Amino acid sequence: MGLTNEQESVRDTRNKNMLVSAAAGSGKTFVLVQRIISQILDEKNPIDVDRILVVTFTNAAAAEMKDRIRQAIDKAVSEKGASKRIKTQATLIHSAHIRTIDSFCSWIVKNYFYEIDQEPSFRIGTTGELKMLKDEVFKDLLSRYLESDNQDFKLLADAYISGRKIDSLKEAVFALNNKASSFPWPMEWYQNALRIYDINSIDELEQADFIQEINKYTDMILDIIAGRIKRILDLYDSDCTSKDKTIFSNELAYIQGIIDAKTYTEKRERYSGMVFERFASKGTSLNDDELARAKELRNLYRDDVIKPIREKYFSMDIEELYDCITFVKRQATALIDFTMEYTKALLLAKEKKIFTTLMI
Amino acid sequence: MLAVNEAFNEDETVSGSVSRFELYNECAYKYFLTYIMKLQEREKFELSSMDMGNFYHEAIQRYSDSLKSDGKKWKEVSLEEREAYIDTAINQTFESMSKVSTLEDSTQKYIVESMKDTLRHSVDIITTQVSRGEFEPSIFEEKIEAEIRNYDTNELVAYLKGKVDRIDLTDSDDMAVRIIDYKSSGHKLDLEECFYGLSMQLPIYMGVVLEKLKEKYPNATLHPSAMLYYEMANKFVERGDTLAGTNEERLKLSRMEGLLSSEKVDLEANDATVGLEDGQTKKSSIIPYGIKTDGEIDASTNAVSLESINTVLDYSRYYAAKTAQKIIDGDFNCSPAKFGKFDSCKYCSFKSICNFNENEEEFQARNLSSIGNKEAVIEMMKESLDSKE
Repeated sequence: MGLTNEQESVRDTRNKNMLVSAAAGSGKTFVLVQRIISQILDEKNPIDVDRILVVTFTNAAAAEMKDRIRQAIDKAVSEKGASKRIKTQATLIHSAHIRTIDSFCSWIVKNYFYEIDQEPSFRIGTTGELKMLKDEVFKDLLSRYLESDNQDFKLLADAYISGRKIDSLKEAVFALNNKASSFPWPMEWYQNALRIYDINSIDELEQADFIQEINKYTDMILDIIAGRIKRILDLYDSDCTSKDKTIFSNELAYIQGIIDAKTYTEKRERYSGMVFERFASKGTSLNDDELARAKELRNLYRDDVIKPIREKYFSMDIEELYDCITFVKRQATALIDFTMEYTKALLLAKEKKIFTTLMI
Repeated sequence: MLAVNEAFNEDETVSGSVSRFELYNECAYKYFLTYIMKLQEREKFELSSMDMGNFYHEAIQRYSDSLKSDGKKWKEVSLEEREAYIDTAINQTFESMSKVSTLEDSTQKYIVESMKDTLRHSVDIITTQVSRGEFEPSIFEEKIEAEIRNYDTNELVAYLKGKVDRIDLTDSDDMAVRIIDYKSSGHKLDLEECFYGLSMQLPIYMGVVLEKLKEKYPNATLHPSAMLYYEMANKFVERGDTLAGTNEERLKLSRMEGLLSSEKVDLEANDATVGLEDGQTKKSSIIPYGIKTDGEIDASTNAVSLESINTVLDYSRYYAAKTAQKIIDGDFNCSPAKFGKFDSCKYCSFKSICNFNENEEEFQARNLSSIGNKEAVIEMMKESLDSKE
């Protein structure tokens, strides 16, 4: 079976990251096997088969892949003039890393346990066992924190423990822990997560990334609106002086003013200062169809754009916003601090579990 | 099933709380597992929702009792006096709850502290609610009992026991009656749920309370004015466009929910701050009641005429008798009620026992259909009652 041009380029491209996405049954695995074979048999830059890592989702896929590669190697070996190196591959294939994700991770830990201070005879916890362990670790840690005099943590508890339900706090901690654990250095991830609260004055807040994002995002929307108002204004006769035309040109100027304003504070003043006059179209030079479109646009930007933005992003003045962030920062810091402790405690509890299993 | 029935119930009457009947109407099998098989979840040594409920009920009762014995009214107590009264009430209540004093886990202790805060908040809210109308909280934790008879045979089928959390009365000669039930989660009194027997507690209590009060005050022309739920919770106000009006917002979050009489005097007795005059508001912050610009009640108001309220009271008692008869007959099929958003399987802890699955043939949920507006429901209730006479 010959390869298509695209398949050939997948097979022959070297020294690059590559993502191959294609429909089911279109031959991804086939091309992958071809690519592996061609790397092994490459005369200029030959690679031994046990130097390649192939990760699959299922054991079946891993076995199938290994089988295909072995067959290809066997075929190459039986051909006339096979080099010694190629013959070696037939032996190496048995220790090649063609595995599922799980088995690869487990292989790493088993072979390098001394690097991470682990027992080599660990076992994988079951889902139910882990859930119970997590609940227990959380419960103990929570009691310890509530016993202490940590005022910031009290603030967090007041907000997330309602009545006798600790679930929302637990869910928040578990979610953070899951997220952090999916990074190679979870503790650093936790520290980084707090960086958005690193704002120590009102000036810093004006410059802060998320305020800049708000400004940028809302300006982008206003820009689109401004463009559409301009197109409506172009429809009017140049000597038309009706109320609707005046409204559109005033409001366009106003919106432009908001976009031109540099800081959050300036923008906020202009947003809250924006008043929408009563629409009237006496003496307009637009025809009915155009007028309907004009009205529709105005309703859209008044009710669905300007007012919601005003409420959602610019309702607090910068001082109040600063106070809020300073307050939330205490809760966020307490949450991250608690979750870090939780992550550590969970790891310890897991290690202890392995130990106890060994003792029995 | 008859054998089961005979095994558990020799004298052929059901006795217990109204919630039993509501549970039966939710799902007969859930009733069977709860009250006949007596299945229970494993109890942990921590505060249960029942402990919390008992605490709130008892503390409020103690608070009110000490006000009463000092000759004071809810709305007249100053803020400082109130604090002192609350502290005493809390301490006395905890003394009588041995479980609380033996709790050692700090999380449980923390929850106890937050319960105190919730109680203070609740007293604060209830005081404001009371001071906006003419009602005075008069009777607390009133034990009630009622005989329920089969409508056809007049045979005694059930013996209901319960406790009314609070009964409020007005000073006037025609004495209006308002009953309040404290809940730990949000509840509304939906007439359609009354019709299907999913919500019978307040109407049945009101009926019994009226009878009892008539014995106590033979000269007053008593009438039902409101039956309401109050949620014992300390909630957060969401920040709106401005920070103003936060106290009023908090009050609105704790609004009582339930059914009101639509008579003008009754609505005013419940909340006198609603009206068209200067300083009055169009929407009540304490009960489901609002008016339009012409002074007529608006669509968000949950009120019906006095006659209709009486229909609801009669109907609930009739339906309780009907429910009791079904229990006695031993009808415990697994047929959970589904009604709009209401789903009796949602928080059910017996799912692993009944294995109810609507996709399988032998399982059938009772899908209750919506009837329509309040008037239509009342009409249906009347029809059911009439056909029995």
